[in-house]
Amino acid sequence: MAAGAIARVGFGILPMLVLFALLLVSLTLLSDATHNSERFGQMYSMLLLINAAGLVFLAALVIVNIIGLIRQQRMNVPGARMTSRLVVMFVVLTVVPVSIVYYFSLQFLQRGIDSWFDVRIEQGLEDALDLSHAALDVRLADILNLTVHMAENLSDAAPATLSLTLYDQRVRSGAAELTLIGGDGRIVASSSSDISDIIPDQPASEMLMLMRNRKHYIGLDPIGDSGLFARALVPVLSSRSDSEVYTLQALYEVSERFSLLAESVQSAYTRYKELSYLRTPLKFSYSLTLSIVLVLSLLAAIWAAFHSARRLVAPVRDLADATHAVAEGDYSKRLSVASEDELGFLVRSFNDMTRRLARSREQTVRAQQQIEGQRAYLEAVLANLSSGVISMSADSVVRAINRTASKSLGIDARQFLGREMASFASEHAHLAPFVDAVTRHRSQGDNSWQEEIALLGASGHQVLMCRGTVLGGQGKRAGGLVIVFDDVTTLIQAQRDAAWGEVARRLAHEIKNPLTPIQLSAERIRRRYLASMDAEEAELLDRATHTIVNQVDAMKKMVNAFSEYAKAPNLNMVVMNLNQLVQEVLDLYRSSDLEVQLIEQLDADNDLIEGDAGRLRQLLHNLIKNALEAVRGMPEARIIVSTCRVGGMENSQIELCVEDNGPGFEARVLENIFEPYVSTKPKGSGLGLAIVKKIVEEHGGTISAESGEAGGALVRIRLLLSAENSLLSDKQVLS
Amino acid sequence: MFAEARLAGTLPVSWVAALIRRRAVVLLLSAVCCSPSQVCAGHPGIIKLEDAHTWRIDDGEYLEAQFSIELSSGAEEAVRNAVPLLFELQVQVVEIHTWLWDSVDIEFTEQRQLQYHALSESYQVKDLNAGTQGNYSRLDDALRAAGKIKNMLLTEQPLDRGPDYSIRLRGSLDVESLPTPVRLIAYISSDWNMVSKWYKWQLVR
Repeated sequence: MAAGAIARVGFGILPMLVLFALLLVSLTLLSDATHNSERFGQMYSMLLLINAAGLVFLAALVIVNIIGLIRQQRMNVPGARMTSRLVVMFVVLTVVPVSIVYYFSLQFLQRGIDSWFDVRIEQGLEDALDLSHAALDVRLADILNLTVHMAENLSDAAPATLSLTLYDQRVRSGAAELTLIGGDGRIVASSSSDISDIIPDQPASEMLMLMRNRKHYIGLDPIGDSGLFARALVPVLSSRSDSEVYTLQALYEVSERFSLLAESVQSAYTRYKELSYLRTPLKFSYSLTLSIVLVLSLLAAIWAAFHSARRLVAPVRDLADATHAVAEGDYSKRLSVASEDELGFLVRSFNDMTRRLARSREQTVRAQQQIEGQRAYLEAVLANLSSGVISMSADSVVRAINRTASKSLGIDARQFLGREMASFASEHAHLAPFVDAVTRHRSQGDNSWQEEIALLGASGHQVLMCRGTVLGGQGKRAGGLVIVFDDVTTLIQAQRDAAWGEVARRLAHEIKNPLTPIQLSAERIRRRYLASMDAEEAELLDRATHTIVNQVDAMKKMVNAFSEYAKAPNLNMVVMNLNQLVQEVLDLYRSSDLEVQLIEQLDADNDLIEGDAGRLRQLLHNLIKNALEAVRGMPEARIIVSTCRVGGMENSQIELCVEDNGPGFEARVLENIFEPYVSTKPKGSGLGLAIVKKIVEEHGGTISAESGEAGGALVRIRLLLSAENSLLSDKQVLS
Repeated sequence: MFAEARLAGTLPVSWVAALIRRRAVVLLLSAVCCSPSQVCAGHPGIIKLEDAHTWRIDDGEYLEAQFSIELSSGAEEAVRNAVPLLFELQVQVVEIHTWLWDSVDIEFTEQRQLQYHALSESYQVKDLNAGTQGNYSRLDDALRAAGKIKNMLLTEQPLDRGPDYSIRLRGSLDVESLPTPVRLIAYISSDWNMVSKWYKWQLVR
């Protein structure tokens, strides 16, 4: 977080310039202070700290930049490597000349400072000092002699006259101050030329120690601001043995000119000595200041290198980012043109490119949307078309199946998309005729064909009116096939029903109506002429009229039966158990004189169907009667009535089979066995199986007839299970 | 006689600030400096309190003290090369609080400058507070004179009433007054780090 703050503050060019300026001022002051300037000498440590803090800040900034750059390189941020190269280049370009300048500056500094100091100058100064000493020594010797003389004069002076004598001696000797000091250091008497100076200048205790050893002292003493004085101390030896040993201190003013010259020599010598001593520390200080300048310059240069490299690389990085975005599919990226140079030209070209790309993509999207719209429209049309549509490619791979087609064929369209059409037949056996027809027409090379195809599926007999058209043109779709078909089962059935209804109506009208008058006429003829005829003719007439009446009856029955067949029934559909119904019907046929063996194999005990009990009973009667007639007179006659559940969980049905071991169906009638008036029996109305088929169709079931290889006929009926049955079975599963 | 006498109830803030600044510079230079062998040569300088006592006369409390100053080899070399040294003798009268920080009630700083005088071949000791000066031919005598506090009037009010007081003394070489080039070395060299501990005693009533 702190690093981030440093980086944010540091990246602004203005704050950094201000910082550099401040550091530069601080460095100038530091350099001045190093030069022992009075003004900044006091601030030296503070300036040193400020500069150090600035350097630390800059160093932190540079480190943060370096770390950031390394991280960017590791993350492969665009422009990071280029920034690194530029930074390294800038830094090398800066470090080399700065280091050279630093090296030579340091050399000049060392030698320059050393060159200030000359052995001859030092010697000269020392000689000057020695000269001063020599000149002073003569004067000091005189003063000492004079003082010794004065001390001798004082030695015999009475204590009461000491002050006067002292005054007299001072005036005569020209001393500035004469003081007589007791053995314990107290001032006994004093005489000074300066009236204002009441307190005499006291000698140091070490000097008084000399006096105790009866030694003399002579020396120069700079006293306060008064200038240079010659101080002489001489013990005053009294001739009296009991007398206290005094010390006479005499202060002589050194002449002003001499004093000034001596002080000048002293000052120059001291200054030179000090400077000479300070030479090493000064070199160290200058080197340090120079090093700080070097480090500051280097750090500033490195920061500037970072800043410049970033500024240089920024447009390139932006371009790289934008190119990446374009590669990702974002064409809305626009870059701001910051300069009018080659990079600016590049940026403008990039903007043009993205603008064009965006426009062309927009057009593509619009076209795609139009295509999608058309496709959706087509799909909607196909989906709502009452005809089934299947389109295939040239290699018979299914490309599209509409809803009606999948419903009519009883298949899941999604399952077959992209697969060959032959897979229809392999997974749905009842579609084999459909597939065969299509394959046949393809192999025959029919470009446009129409065929009625009959299917026998789980939902019963189905007739499809198919029209196939081979797609022309060139390209991918060439050679493809579009099959359009209509389920005409219901239509055909309705047409047939209508035809039979018409036939029945005609029969009733045209045939049944004249039958009654015929019958009545025959009976009237018989009644009127039978009695009046002889026996032979009467018999003939009787037989003839009987025949007429019987035949008319038969015709009436036939017409009634036919009318019954053609009449649309009023079904009373109820949920019922088929097995129970079968058992009831079979029970009626079970009599002792029945020579036929009736076998029931009822498996589907709990299965329920929806049906009209009366019609189904009729169905069973017709079938059993047919079977009984077929096996009549045959040895070991046997009729098997069986029920069982067939089909899967979703499409389960009840199969009812009536099988006999009679002669079976003839092959020539097997195809039309359920048509009216198709029969293999010498007697029969020819409507038995037709009615059975009608009842099955009324119940939405399917019927088929077949002959066994070893003889015998089998009629197989499949009826749909009731919805309640599936609920029941669910409950059973649960229980 | 006393250059600076102030009554205050606070810690010596200026002194603390100076200390912090000095330590910071020392730390910095220690980090920068690459030749530590140059700055730690010779024997170290020592300042210690030899004798101190207070007495009371009618007009107030008086102090007399003697610091013993031994110059380090570097400092001695500097003095012999005419570099002036400034010694500071700090005197504080501290009011003792039982529960709070002790507060400095009175503080004096005696400044003594020691310099070699080539012409007279003597060492000058200037009392910068009083403006007096003494000349000594021997360095030892000069240092003794520099470490002497004589008849210092601490306060005119008697301290034997009211709260408890203690007196503390410390002597040090003022590095900040050295010539700038030497100061840089003085910051990092133990040779120049001449400062006594605080000597403290409680006033007996």
